[in-house]
Amino acid sequence: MDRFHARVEVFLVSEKIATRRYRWRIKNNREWLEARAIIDVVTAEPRSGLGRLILTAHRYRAPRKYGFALTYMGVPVFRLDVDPGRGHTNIKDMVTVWGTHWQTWPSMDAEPDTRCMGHNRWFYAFLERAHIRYPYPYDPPPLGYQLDLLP
Amino acid sequence: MTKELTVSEIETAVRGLSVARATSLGIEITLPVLFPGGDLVTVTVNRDGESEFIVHDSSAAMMFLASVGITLSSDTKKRLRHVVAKYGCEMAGDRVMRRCTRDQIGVAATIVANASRAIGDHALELRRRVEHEFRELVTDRVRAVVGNRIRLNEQVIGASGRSYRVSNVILAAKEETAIAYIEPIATRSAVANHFAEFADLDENQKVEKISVFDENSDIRPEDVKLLSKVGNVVPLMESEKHLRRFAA
Repeated sequence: MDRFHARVEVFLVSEKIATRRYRWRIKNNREWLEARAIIDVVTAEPRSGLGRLILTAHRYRAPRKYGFALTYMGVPVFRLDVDPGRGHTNIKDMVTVWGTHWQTWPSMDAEPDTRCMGHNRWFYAFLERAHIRYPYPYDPPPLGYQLDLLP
Repeated sequence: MTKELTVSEIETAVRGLSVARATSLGIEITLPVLFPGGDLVTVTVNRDGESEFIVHDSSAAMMFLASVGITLSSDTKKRLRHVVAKYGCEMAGDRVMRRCTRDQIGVAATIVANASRAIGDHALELRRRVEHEFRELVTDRVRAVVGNRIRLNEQVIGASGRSYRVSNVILAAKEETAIAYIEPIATRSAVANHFAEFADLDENQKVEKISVFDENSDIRPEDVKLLSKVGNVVPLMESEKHLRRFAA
């Protein structure tokens, strides 16, 4: 097991905290949104600042499409894709999972989740499974309407 | 007895990987094309006027890159626009798109999906590799010059009271006091943190502060200028020359 792998394993199981609030940013063509927060291990002092919580959301698509990811040193180590509108093929066993799914380091194989929930509940479900405490108010993605795309 | 494999069986299996469904954006088609890691690529078909159609990826490639922690510099975006153009597609904002007629939708969907995947392939440039290996590279260079007088990830308290882990600390000959702090700056995302760190440590004037940056990364001249306000900034290729004066 290489050193990085060992560090990721410790990071994933450690109790973590968001040390900065996320803010939604509307991306280039106003079609999607991204928000980031810094995640640190609660007991780590000084803070390493090596973890990131990354939220993405499509502004117009219905059914709604949301992404939640935890990265460590820039590498995704835990992900949740909510109704991504596409499948995920697990490279090792060649099984394709359709719809909402979770992915965990190191295999990052998709594990399906058939629940139907709003962004708020998925957000807290992600935090719970990722052992992250978010001590700020929840901020929903500012979704738009399809008409905004017209010239 | 093993059943013979038939042409139609294979055809059905491969066709089964293409799925279409209606969404608020248009008709979404998932194709047997994969982003790194296994996410299948999806494109959307919209009518554009009487007889034309637009096939686009709804910014899926850019969203994919964001979800795996990648932020693209404007230079990289420019390069990716050229990649997309090789597929006869264009970038409209963050969308990969191509116009086509009704008869061309199948081919256009395949082309857009592959162009979208080509953007997603940028995820193979793992930042961890960049940051982690760059950090090790810098440490190796410092160690090569100063030998045992290097200390890694030393805790140092700034003027504000905040504490920092300095990646590489060079000690004086007697190994009692620090004479230089050296931080690797692999990507632009590290600039702000290291600027704050060195600015906070600035009151300790006796210790030289050096930022060694990767000249092949997304670091811009203005980032170098910013870091130079709080210490010396050295490109990796020239770092050995600069570090040599710390040799015993």
